[in-house]
Amino acid sequence: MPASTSFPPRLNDRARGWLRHIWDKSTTADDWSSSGEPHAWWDHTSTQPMCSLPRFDLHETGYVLPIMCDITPAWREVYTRIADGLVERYTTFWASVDWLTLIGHDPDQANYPPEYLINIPEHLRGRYDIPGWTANGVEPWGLQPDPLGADGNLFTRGFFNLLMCFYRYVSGDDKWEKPFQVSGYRDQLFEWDQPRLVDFIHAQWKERPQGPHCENTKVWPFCVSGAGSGLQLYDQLHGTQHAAVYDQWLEYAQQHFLQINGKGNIESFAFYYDPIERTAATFRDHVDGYAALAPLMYNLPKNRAFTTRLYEHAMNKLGWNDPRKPILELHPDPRFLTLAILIARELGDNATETRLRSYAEENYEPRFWGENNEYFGWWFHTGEPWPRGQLSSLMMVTELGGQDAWSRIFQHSNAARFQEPTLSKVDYPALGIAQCWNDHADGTMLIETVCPRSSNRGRATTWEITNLPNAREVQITSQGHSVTTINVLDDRTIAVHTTMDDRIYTVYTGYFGPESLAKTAGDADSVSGDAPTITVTADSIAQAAKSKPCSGSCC
Amino acid sequence: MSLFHRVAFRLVLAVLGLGLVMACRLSRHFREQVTRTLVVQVGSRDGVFHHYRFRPRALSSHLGRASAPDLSLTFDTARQGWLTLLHPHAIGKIIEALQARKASYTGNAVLVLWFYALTRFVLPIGRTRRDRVALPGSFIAPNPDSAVASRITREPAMKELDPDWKPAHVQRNKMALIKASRGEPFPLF
Repeated sequence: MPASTSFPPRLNDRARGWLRHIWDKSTTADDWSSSGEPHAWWDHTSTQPMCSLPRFDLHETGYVLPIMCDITPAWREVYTRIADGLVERYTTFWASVDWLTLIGHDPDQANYPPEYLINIPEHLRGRYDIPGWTANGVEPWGLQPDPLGADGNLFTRGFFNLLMCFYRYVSGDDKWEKPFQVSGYRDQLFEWDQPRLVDFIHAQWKERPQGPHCENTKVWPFCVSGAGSGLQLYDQLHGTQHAAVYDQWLEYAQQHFLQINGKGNIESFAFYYDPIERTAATFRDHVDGYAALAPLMYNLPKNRAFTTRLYEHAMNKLGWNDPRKPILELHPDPRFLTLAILIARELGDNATETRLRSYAEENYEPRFWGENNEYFGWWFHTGEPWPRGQLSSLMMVTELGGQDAWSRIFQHSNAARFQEPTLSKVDYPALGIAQCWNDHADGTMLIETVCPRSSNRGRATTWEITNLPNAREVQITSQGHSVTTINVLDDRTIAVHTTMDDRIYTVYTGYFGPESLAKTAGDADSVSGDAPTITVTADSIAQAAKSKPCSGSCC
Repeated sequence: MSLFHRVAFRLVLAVLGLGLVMACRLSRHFREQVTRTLVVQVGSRDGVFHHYRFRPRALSSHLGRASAPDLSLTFDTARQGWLTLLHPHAIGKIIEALQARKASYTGNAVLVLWFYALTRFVLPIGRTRRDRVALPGSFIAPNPDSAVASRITREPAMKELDPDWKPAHVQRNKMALIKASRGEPFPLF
């Protein structure tokens, strides 16, 4: 079942299973250089030909992280580690393999399969580069060896910026705002940092209100909107004002990329526009619903009215909102229906969301796997050895959090969490976290630990809580027992020695919100109550450590 | 009356086939879009069927059913079939018929869009074309005065990947886009 939206927020089995998988993907070393190859679990197949690149798995995997962070705002270290691994790969050869190797025009223009050709305007088919063929090096642009500093290739730098924003969102850390190297043509290295990249995107876009070119030379609402979301979130995190260009572009798109018929209804929305060919790629008649859906998850946090208009157009054309009609996936790519579920949820179209989610549940093969079923993903009946990263991540976004879980990231990012009591140094993935948040009303932190492998239950473990107002005042109870195996590491940090298990801890932190840091000591007694001492002791932990040897991935 | 519609539908499908065969012979642009071996079948539940066999740069048109079409589109009635195919918004009409359960398909529905574009060579209603005027603000040449010009490293135009950068050639050949364009099988999504 989809993740619960009840309060207090919680990562359910599916969410934790997906987190477990992307943890493995991000933290397992693989070689993305020009002499290596990404691990097979990175999705380089979905949504051909435009998105069938491992780079898309990097940033789309990142989409779940800020939402998970909002669900467990007091436990973020795992999201930070995953985001860091994703961003780091984005600087490599394989992240820009298209821009760096698809040089000149495609010699196979007249050999595309029909499934590819439908993405090209009919009068250009057979003599035009397929979307996804970035065509670095063609006239009049010349060869541009830096994949980020380019006239085209917005879809790399725009989504890269978005991913770096997610890193900042979950970590509060400025690592990627300092200089780093990006791999370019012939393995040249180019120095960038996130602020410089944002300035580049903003300045270039300001000069080109139609939208920068995502490849050479196509303007895609999908990728321009993704880049706009990156600017919006960057502004949210840094208090800057870069996203005005995105607002202006949305106005431009409504004026020029929408075709309106005589009745005032949307006729079509450009899938992309080629200013040299003076052609907007659109789909005929009802199929246009797919083009309308493509950018909506990025448009929604910025312009709800426009998103609603396009969404309703898409649903009416595709018939997905009409229970009398069968759900037809004329294009078999689950990306579009998944996006429809997400937008339906965010807009509160509950009937459509329920209908489409039920369809996805039956047809997209959601499945747990691995020892103790600790992993989860959607397999889409592909028969492949790993769940599709891009599509599974989008499906997970549809299930996480409440109605506006996605939009809220871009509108109300909560930086205060970095000053609040924080759970850290959890022995993940041996021990998982389902809940972790600070209750300002009670001055407590709620922690729910989950031990997915029975072989790890009872094993000794230690975790820490940092950012405490006064570490010596902390009291912890778990299932009605006091936890006394606590070391005070410094004035603001404690270490808790316990054992791995499915367990709920209530930690009296004395933190009542940013305005009431002083209100701690006086309240402590009233929270601790008369709970008996927990049976976990230093001896029992030591005993457990001897009797429960580490197994599997915990080692 | 139903006999009339069956005859009309057969005629439309046969004339369409003839036109497609001629277009394939006469138009290089058409042939550039015929790149794979596959069969598209169109018919009706009241007994009309026609299929088109494509192979790279060629096609043939046949009365009756195909043994294993890659796409089979079947209307409830012949009347609906010929009226739909001749409609200026045939794709929309086909989808409405599918949604109303007055038509059905088996196989790869994406081929409908591809096939329909080929039929525009025969029935030139609603062909796509280049706009006379570019949209405002079109960026069609590098701007040396751009605020970001100094951040763009620009080298002379290149027509192909540097032949001396051997690892890049190896890696490029692993890309899904390259493999599909060269005729290897690929998943539909």
